[in-house]
Amino acid sequence: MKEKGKNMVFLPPYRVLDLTDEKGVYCGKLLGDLGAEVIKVEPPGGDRTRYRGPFYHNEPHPEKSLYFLYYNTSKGSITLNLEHADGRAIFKKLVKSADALLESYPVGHLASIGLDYKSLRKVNPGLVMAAITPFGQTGPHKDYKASDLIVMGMSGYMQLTGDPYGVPVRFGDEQSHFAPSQYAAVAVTAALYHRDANSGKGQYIDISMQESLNTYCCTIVQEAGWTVTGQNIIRQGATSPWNFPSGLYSCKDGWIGMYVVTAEHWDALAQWIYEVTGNEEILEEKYRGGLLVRNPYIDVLEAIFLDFTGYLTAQELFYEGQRRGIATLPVNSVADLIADKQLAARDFWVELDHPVVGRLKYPRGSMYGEDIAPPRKAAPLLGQDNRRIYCDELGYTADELDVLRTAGII
Amino acid sequence: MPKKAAKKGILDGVRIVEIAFYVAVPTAGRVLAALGAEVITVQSINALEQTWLAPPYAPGLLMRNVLLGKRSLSLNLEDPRGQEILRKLLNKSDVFMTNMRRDSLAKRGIDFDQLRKVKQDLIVLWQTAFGSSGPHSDHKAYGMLVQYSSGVTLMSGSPERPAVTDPPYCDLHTGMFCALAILGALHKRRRTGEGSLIECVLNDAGVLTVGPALLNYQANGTLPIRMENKDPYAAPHGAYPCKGYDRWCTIAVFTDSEWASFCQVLGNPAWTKRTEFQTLADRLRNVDELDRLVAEWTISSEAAEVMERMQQAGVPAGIVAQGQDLCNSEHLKSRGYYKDVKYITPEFGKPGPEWAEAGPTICISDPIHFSETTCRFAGMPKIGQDTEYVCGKLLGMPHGEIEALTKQGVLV
Repeated sequence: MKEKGKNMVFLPPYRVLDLTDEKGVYCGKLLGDLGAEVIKVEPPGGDRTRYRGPFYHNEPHPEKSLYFLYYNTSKGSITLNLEHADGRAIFKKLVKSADALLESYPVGHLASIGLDYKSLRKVNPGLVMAAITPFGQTGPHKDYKASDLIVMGMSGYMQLTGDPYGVPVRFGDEQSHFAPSQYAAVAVTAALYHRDANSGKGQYIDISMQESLNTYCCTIVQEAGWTVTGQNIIRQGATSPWNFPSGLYSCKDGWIGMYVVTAEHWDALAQWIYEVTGNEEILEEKYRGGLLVRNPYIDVLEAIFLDFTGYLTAQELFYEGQRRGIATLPVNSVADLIADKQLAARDFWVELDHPVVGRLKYPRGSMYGEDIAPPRKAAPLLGQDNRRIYCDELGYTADELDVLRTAGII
Repeated sequence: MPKKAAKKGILDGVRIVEIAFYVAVPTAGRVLAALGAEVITVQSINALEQTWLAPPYAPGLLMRNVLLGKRSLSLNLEDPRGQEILRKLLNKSDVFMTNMRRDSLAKRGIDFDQLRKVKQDLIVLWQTAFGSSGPHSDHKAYGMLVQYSSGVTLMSGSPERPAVTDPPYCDLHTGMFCALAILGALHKRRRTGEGSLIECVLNDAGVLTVGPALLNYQANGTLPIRMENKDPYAAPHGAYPCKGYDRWCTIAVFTDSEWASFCQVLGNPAWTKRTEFQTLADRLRNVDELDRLVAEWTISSEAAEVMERMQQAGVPAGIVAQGQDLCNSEHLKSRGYYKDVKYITPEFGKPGPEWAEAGPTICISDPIHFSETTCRFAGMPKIGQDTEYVCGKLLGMPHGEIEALTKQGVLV
């Protein structure tokens, strides 16, 4: 499986020009890791995120941003100044051989410099172009300024994160950037399939981060709650008021996650609690069953449960719970993940070499199969593919390249 | 609903059979159905998943999201005759996707290798919790728990207390990977004529979202610091309390010019001129005091008003949207994001097709806007509403046999 990446057939080596910033950078990584030839088009000084921490050995340096290194695996890099007319002319030449273009500029910016879909389609009718923006290309909020935090709030996701009587909380490290990139990767892959299997034509894709993240609220549909009950749903916090046990609980040395929905799992858990605490009440008939059954008794059950978890460490609860067939999971830190036996056993970590920071372990991905290779290469050095693209492909001489560089175009 | 005529779906003609519980794989099915695929979900009235009961709101409402746009075949896979019908259907399908556990698959006579031998271009997608090999391969998990094990919980909330998110977070990430994997496999099949066996792993999808922190630990030995809503590159940065119960507005001030605009919106009060707030570094150093002063100003205004005034001045801001805000959003309405659909209310003991419809009520659609192809939107199927179509039209079974097998508890 490991060597097969060389003749990968899963995703063809489509050429994807990546003009995105933080909002869409994950999309290009997904496509690149799956086999597409993704070329990051950076301004001559380098993409802004090259200056974003954390940095390797905490040394600020455009080739040492760990943010940049993480989100740009399997990509190449060229530099090009799109604010300059000559830069734009060169860009149109690049578009001719591209299959897809990803962008996340403010709405209307590319149109203002003549690089909107309408213009680029004339150059290459097969081009698939995807725009990832906070609120999409249309609608009264299309020009609203946003960041991760704002999208989290506006999508409704933040309303569902944190404690019910505390402030709504931003979840994870820029979680709002994942959903739209996943939708964009699906949409671009689908549009290319359509082009090659059916129509021969490309198309334009409008992805709104607000909408994408809103779908990730999923079963906790605030909209349904409002229309059916006339009430606004509030975040539930670490444990669910709708089921028991369900969520994150304290234990002897930290936290443990547990979720029981079936009658069988409850019986196994009740027996275990009884064995540890000697408390016979937990075995009572009225608590037995699947979802909903225990809802009237959550307070009393939680007291017994916390007594039980107080005897055991997270690792004891995890292994013994799983042995008994109960969905029990620990709260892992990044250090735990790097040391995790299961991830290691399945070659989840892929070591990639980078000319400046050397070897680091990167996640392989979530998909496994005979034709799915791990990420192929570490993030690119700034402009590392300039010569290959501009000279070998577009036919500029080395002297011409120097002139373009001096003029601030490359 | 405005319909643009003659637009085609990308996956028109692709048939997908889905046997899956909970959220991840059904999410992939929903997205692929929106792209035009015929997604046949296999359900049985005898083995209803708990999600049908799940509160809050109304029973059945939560299933709507994962069933939209699909066909429903009711089939008892405990019965060998049911298993045979599934095999015949898979032989006429392009994709089979499931999240059944290894032992459940075996019990139902489903063997991926065998299926692929019979139909070499079949695409099989298997979603697992921790992967099908390794010491934890049989461990049980749910999407909502995997936020803890995959590392993102310890990056959220305050230093004293990690924050939990209510949605089954990793299920959605995994569902989208399942959809992407199937699209990739369709590309491969188009070029080579071959099928694929792909596994999508729930926990791994979660670990991907830990992001640069994975490299930061290796390179610097640094673990993420939980900063609640604070940010190392912006101040003010947070959800600030507004007028009313549980009303908040997020504000994020990154640049000096945004800070100047922010101060102007507040009417340039004296405190904004204090030396401890002049540069971003100053504001970060004194962020608790800064947040307190910002909250003093926001608390007397409606969240939407704070947002609008900030945005008009070019400062990133947005309400913490609740159900009512989302339903009434002129912006989302103008983009056609919401649709109205009916939903099915479970009536245990009755055949699926006899369950009652309720609603209509508002529902999300798919957030992909294509210029040339359509995203199909269709309602929520009743359990078994397409059994006649699948067995009769696709598999050519005579009507009498379908009736008999229904009576005998096979097609239920």
